[in-house]
Amino acid sequence: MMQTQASIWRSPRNPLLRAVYLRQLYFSGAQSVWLALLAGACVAIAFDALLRHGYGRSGEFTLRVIADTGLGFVAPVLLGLLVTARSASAIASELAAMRTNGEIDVLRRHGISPIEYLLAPRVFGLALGTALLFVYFAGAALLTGALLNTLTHPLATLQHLLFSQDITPLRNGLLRSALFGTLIGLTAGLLGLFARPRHTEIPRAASRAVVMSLVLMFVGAAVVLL
Amino acid sequence: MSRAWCVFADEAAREAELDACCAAAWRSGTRIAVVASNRALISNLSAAENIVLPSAWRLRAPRLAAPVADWLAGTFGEALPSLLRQLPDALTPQQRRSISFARALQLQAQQVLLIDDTPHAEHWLGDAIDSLRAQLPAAHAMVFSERHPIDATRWRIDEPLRPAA
Repeated sequence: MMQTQASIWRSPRNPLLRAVYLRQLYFSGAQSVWLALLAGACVAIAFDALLRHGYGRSGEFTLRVIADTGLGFVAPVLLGLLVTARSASAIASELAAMRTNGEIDVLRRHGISPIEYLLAPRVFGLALGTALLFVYFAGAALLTGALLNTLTHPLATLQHLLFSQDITPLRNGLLRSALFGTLIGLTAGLLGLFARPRHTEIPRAASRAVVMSLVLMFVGAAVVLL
Repeated sequence: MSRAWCVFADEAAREAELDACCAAAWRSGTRIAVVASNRALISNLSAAENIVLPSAWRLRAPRLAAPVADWLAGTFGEALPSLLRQLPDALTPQQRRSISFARALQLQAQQVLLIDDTPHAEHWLGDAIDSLRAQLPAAHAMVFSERHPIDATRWRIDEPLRPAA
């Protein structure tokens, strides 16, 4: 017998919802892996140039700063910028277009919650995708920093650094990345879902999503630092 | 199978009543589906995905039901496999109507709302009612329109009302 009174939040085991989640995770996370790797490597190069060559600090000190400051604070903001550029406008414009074309109404009329089917997977996908990108960013930054320093065994130094270093900055960086991904997904999704149903509102929703996402992310970063 | 024709003053009134009918139906546990030519399908899903979407929302293993597949094969013939892979933008209004009708069959809808959004083509409504009588004999069909039917003898004309809970 077909269920008609289903719970509000559907189980991720529902194959339809699982497909939507995975699709969003792929777009937000997997397709941006190379960008995260590149950004991580570039941040490590920048820190190395500044600290070792600019201020004459040791390679080990540079690695510690990359791990503490680079991953704890710089990485979440950079990844937030990356995700905003790639996903915020796309999500807002897609949902605004669906609203304009009456597709949100089609979903509601057939008993499908737009919040559960459209918004939740995008928010979850962005949160998890940004957290995964942080892992790639961190790996690239630390490996690049280790390779750049003058010690003879960069991998051993890296291993020593990771196992002796307090992992709090890494944990904080991961959580902040997930938080920023959540904020961006919520902002873009809500602006798109509740845009006025006119074609002229679609690009406006997209630009509003980018601006609001950036504002919330910078405010969030400042709050976290306080 | 009961049927009714509801006349509305304009499209805005029709859409508002459509939303109210559907919300009331789902609250009372009644499966309701909407059949229309325009603004009836999700644009980023294929025809096949649009058909199974509402039933998949409530089933763990959504597959095209055999009676629905048979009805689709009878309607589209050999063109069915390629048509099911198309996005709604690539379909004709008649094909979109058929896909939204198949969605109602897949959902085993107890109430089917037929939107008269092609004012100069009423024959499809009669064909839809005939198909509903064969596939979903217990369903209640309501036509939402901004005009009176050409052949008023086939319909019970209703004031806009919500289906009984």
